[in-house]
Amino acid sequence: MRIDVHNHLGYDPANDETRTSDELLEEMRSAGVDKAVIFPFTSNPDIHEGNEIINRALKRGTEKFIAFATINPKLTETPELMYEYKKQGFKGIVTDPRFGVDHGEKTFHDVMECAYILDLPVWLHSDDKETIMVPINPMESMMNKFPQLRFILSSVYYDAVGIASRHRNVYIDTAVFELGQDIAKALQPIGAHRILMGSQTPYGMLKRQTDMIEICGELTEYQKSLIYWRNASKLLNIEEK
Amino acid sequence: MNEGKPRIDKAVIFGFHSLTSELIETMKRDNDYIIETTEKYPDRYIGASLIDPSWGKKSIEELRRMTKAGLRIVKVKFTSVHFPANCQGAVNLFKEIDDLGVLPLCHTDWTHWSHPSILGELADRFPDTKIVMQHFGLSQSMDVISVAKRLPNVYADTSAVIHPRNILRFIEKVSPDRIMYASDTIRANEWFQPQDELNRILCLNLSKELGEKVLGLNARLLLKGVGVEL
Repeated sequence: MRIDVHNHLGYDPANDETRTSDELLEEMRSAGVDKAVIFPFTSNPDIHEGNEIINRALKRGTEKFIAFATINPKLTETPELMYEYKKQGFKGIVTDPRFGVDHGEKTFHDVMECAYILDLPVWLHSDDKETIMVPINPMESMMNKFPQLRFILSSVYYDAVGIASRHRNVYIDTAVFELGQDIAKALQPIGAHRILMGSQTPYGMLKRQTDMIEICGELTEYQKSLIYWRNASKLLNIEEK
Repeated sequence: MNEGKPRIDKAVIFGFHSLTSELIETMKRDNDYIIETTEKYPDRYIGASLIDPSWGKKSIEELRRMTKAGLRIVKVKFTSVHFPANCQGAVNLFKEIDDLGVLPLCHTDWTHWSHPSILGELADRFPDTKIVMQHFGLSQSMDVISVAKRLPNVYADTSAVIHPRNILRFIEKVSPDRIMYASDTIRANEWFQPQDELNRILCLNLSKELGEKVLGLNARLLLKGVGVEL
């Protein structure tokens, strides 16, 4: 079994490109990936439309897709939206610093509180290579404030492994690890039990992620299975078949 | 503006909140406010639209709406929405800017979204559109100078200049005709202030001719080129 936790569908206004569920399913088939966490491009501020595209994909491919909804904390109707998304079958939410709300702001904490009540994991997404500009202290304070809330922290964040090592409720994805050895370097501080395979398609490739995990000689077969699917399966309450 | 020494006669104004907008209506509301304010004080303010490019086609529609309403200047900050200035979405917006013949004011900084070398790609692609690189003095003065030397359609504003001598460097290495005073004022008594920004130019003791160019003439000619008569 293989589960990839980082895949975008819908319209990406930055690159003026669209990624369809059919394209992702074909890539999954080709790379031998069984399930994919899907959510909109966070470059697109129209979260209503973006989440609706994810909802439609979910209805078509329930067995293959696990849906996360993008949330912009600036929207006043956010709690109602989160309840609605949960009802529709979304398993988690996604935030991104590009929406202009810092991790220390009240509106951000309000969203986290709602996610905690609804038991929705939070994907702290970013494609920001300048994450050095995102203050870490407010983020870590938030993680401390909601210890029961589970976070997936984008590995693009500055010192993502360090942050995860200080917070047991934090998982990281593999999307921006350059080398298999980078995964190995995260084993000692956080352990394989909090690393998730994430390819960041369509920017990244599913095959590249599986190749990277396979080539990492320091990983045991069991640790590979944790990264491939066991961790995601536990985090997202996916039944083992 | 009235208290400035010398007095500041006119100011280009644009919105702030919708640098990144959660709804398209937020951006429209900001821009409508600029139109109202400009109409209320036509002798003092020159309005510019603020376009969040992440709304794709809707951003372009908003730019058209504002241009139709009479605004001939557009502010864009790619950093706020994490768009590299050379991405397709940015190119699409600039194609419209080029077609409409309006003047883009583009925030610059050290990031891969708004670095002068990346904005320079846009300037290079649309040579008939003059582009103002804002905050040239923040930390990337020499980068702006490098791009502006190569591209005659690149202008710079002086807001946030850390080392005022970089203004002299721009004048010497690029041109005395393509650099303009700007303050980046956001709120009264907070962040950048018009007088503080003016002082960074005044301390250079520029000749009368150069001083007139940097403090007004260059901007006047540039604005005239897009149909704004002062």
